[in-house]
Amino acid sequence: MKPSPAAEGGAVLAVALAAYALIFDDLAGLLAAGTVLFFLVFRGAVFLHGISHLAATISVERAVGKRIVRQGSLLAVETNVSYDPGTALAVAVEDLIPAVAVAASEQKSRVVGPGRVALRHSFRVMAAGDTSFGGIELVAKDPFFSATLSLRKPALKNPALRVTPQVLPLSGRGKGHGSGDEEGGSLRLLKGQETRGYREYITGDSLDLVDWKLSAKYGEMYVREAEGLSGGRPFIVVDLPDRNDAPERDAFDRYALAVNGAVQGSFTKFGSCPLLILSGGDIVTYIPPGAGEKELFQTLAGIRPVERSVHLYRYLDPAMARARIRALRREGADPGGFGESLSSTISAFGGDSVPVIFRQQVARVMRSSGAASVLLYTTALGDLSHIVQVVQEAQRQGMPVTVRASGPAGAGAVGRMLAAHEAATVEEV
Amino acid sequence: MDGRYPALAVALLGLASAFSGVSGLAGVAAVGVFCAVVFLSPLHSWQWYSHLAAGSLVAVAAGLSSLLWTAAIMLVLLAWVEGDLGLLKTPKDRRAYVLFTVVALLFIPMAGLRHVPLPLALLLAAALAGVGVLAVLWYRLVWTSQKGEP
Repeated sequence: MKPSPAAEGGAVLAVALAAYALIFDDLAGLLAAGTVLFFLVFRGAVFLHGISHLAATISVERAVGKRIVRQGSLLAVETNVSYDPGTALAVAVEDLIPAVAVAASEQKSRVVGPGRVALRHSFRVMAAGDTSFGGIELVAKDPFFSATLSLRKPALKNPALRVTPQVLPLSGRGKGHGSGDEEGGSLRLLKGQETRGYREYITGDSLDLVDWKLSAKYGEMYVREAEGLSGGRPFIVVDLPDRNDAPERDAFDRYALAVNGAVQGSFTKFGSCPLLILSGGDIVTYIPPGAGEKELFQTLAGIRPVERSVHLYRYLDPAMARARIRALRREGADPGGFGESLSSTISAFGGDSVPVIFRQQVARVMRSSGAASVLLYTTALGDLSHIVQVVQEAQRQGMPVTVRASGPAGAGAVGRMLAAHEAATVEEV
Repeated sequence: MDGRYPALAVALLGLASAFSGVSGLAGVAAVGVFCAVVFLSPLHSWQWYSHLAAGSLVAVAAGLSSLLWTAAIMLVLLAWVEGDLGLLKTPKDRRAYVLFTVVALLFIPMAGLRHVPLPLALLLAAALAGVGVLAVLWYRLVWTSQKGEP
């Protein structure tokens, strides 16, 4: 509840009258000041009564295309909000989308009658599971006060939505028994990957994922869902692209969807998910392991290309510099030749420098996360020097790294960049 | 609400207080300033504020005669403000303003006190209490809106 400029002006007048009354010891000035001040309190009480009445009388009807939706799919909604038209307040309403959803369009509001407003909008639900709308945001104002109220009563959250997981193609080839016998299906489980759970079959799912025994038992088709990483809790690192290198909207949505899926899978399995969001040499956000699901998905809902202020492509990592020097020495550089001069140049400028601050920050959060592995998502656009830093740090801490890059080109670029770091597995999102 | 009637009422009340008590010349001068503001102030959405400020001057001058004049002028002024801002459209709004008037008149016994500091302290305490009650009610409303029950 905020006072408007009119209420603030009234308060200034009351203070001026009170100051006059105090200086000149004039009770008439005090009475005038008191009347204005009391009037403001009275207006506040009237406003509060009005908005309480509105909150009590508001009702919502939502028309959604379907109640069972696939993770990441677009859902259009028409929300009809009704309230007591007799109110003296100016009223505006906004539909609150589910906490795990991302708005795909702005809400268009249309007054359909006295006390009736229709809202049209659409959004994408980014996490699987049962969810519901967040309620209604009510904005009311009169000439003296304004207020925004989030109404989250159960009746205002209907209907409930069931979001089924998006089936992401598993990259890599299946395990065959020999030459010419390898299976090329992209939906096979990878080595070391387990079934996380089962769900009902949805049209479009691959028949390869159907669990026929379970389907026969219950008379309905069920499909297997693969887990992301086996073993302990992963430390998920999300690399946001620079605004100048941003991918197309659809491509970035697919990337965000894959990130959401991984975070949700990790959270469902382990109850927590340490999440580091970075862009180049900038740490954007770090969500520690104890954070709740709501905080995680609210953070993920806001990911978008950012403006990178720190680039690491000019930074020569000490470990890499030493590795290059060793390689040159192994090759037996000619005395006075190019190899020796390169080796001495690297030694002079890079071999003994301290680790960059970004690397130190990553090392600290990686150590405090208590994770067993690192899962790094990147669009692989623009400079990738920071990816090398993250992978090196993970290796230094003895954590296996899986890098998932957007598209075959991205996976190829990251693969080439990390060719020297054999411990890192590169997959395609 | 037609603004001419409350303006006339304020001017007449100011003149009546000037001629009925000791305010005299001060009261007439205040009414003159008020009339000048009402007639000369440009037509804009904040016109009500200049009227309220000038009317308060008349109320303070009228208080030299009696605090009853002050209370009467302030209540007319605030009714004018409410009408100007469209807050007296329904009978419910008008009843609420009458209730405000009755409660505001309870300030009149302050006339029994000779000096300002004590009633000023009481007024500030009452204002703080009022704001506190409103704050509690507001956060209770926020809580019930979030949870669906008190």
